[in-house]
Amino acid sequence: MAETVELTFESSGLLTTIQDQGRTGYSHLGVPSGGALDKAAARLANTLAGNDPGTPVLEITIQGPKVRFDGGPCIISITGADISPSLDQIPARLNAPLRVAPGQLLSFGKLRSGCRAYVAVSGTWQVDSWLGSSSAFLQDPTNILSKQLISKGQKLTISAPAGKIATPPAGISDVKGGLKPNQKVRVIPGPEYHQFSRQAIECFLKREHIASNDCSRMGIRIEAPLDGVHIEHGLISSAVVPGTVQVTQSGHCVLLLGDAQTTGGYHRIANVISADMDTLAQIKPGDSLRFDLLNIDQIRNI
Amino acid sequence: MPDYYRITELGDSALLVEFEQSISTEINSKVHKLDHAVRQNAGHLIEFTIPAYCSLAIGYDRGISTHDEVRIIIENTLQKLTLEAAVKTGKRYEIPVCFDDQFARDLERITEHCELEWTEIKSILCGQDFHVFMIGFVAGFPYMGELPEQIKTPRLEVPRKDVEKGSVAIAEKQCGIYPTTSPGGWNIVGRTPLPILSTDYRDPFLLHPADQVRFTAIDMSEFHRIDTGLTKGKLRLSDFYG
Repeated sequence: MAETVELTFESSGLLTTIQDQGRTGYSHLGVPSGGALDKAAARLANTLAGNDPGTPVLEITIQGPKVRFDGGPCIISITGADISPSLDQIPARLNAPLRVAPGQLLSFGKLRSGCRAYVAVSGTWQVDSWLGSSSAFLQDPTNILSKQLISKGQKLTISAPAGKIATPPAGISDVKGGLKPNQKVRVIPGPEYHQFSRQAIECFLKREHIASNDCSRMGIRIEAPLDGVHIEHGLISSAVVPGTVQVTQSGHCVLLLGDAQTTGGYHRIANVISADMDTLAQIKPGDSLRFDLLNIDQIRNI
Repeated sequence: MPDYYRITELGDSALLVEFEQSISTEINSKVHKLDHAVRQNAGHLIEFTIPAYCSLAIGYDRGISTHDEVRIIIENTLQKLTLEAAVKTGKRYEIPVCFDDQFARDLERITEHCELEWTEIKSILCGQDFHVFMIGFVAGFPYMGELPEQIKTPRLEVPRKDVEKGSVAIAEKQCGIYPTTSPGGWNIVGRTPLPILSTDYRDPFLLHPADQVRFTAIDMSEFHRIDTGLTKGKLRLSDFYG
């Protein structure tokens, strides 16, 4: 008979959610794609724990929870942001499979890099799903996914935990979430790019932008407005996707993430390329970023 | 088919097709015809679409296709639509709405703004089919229209934090139904007891883009009969729509 592992959240952290690779294909009904914001980190965590890459994980934001493991032993792995994880007060390695014995406590400390960490646990997660995904949906219309937003005292059951341990690929232990020094976020022009003044475009591309405190799973708002934005009217509501950079009438840029609405009325100056979406997920309030403008043909093989 | 269209990139894995930028059922029906035809012609390449009033985003899998290829598919599809004039119409739903002042939180604001009696406003709201232009804002929220000029009402200056699930509301020449309790800035005219979004059903969404909706007025006792029936499982949505 398969053993089970029971996780008990002695504290919830700032925002801890259950996420998988998201629910694509329902955006015509207003449902965001959602899922782990740093999808590569979530897949890596699962692979290291011996799971299918699309298995749910915990997405941990800036400040981590305290999680007690009971039941059988299991394999976990932690990827993405470095939030100083430890098992029973002993620092735990990132990007490596870790054996967890019954009764052990996983906790987190200081945020050293990135914004979002991912914890995979070997086995089958006993969680609800909706429209093909068990990802939390914070604007949950149905309330069936309310347990996907972790609260203090909550328990989570994972069955058949005896996963096979994957060997970490070479060099993977150095992979940490967040922008590397001098790394720019690559964008291509958005539908309204040419409607912006030369001054606004220069400001967008040359300035060092700061992520404001107004950051969530829906998007990142940039602190200072662009110069030279003269938008008189909003657009007739039209599609937006994760990565769309909207500019409000006041000139503020908002970079949309996985839980964003599917339509909006703001001008779309640019879109972040797919390959840089995971990097974007690791930007936290106060971080600075620069944009690098490419055209669609330059990114064919990225 | 279209006199005017423009195709741009919406990121590296979606294209945006824009028609003449105005709100009309004629232009919106082009959006839904194109959506339908592209899904039929190239469904295997398409990951998602986002139809809106006068634009359609088409998301593709960049692992198996390129923007050039999808752009050609869109252009060819648009050309064919000219000849075939394919029609994609949605379903028609009659939705019971209770316009009692207990639910119609903005009754006074609307009657004052429009200088009409509430009974006149109700009969206008129940007197025509509304077209579902798009679904957006929150999961399952239908943007419908167009309202006649007489009852055109501006949005609230300060949006509410808690608009009850099932609230039917109007803003400018649009109307909508809140699928779940959420913030909202539209004027509330009544409430439907029917779930327009429910996980109890195989398709959780009652309304889809391009559907037609007719409101029918019900009184408070009928509202409670339907509401209680659905809650207790004595009634199902299929009792209303087959």
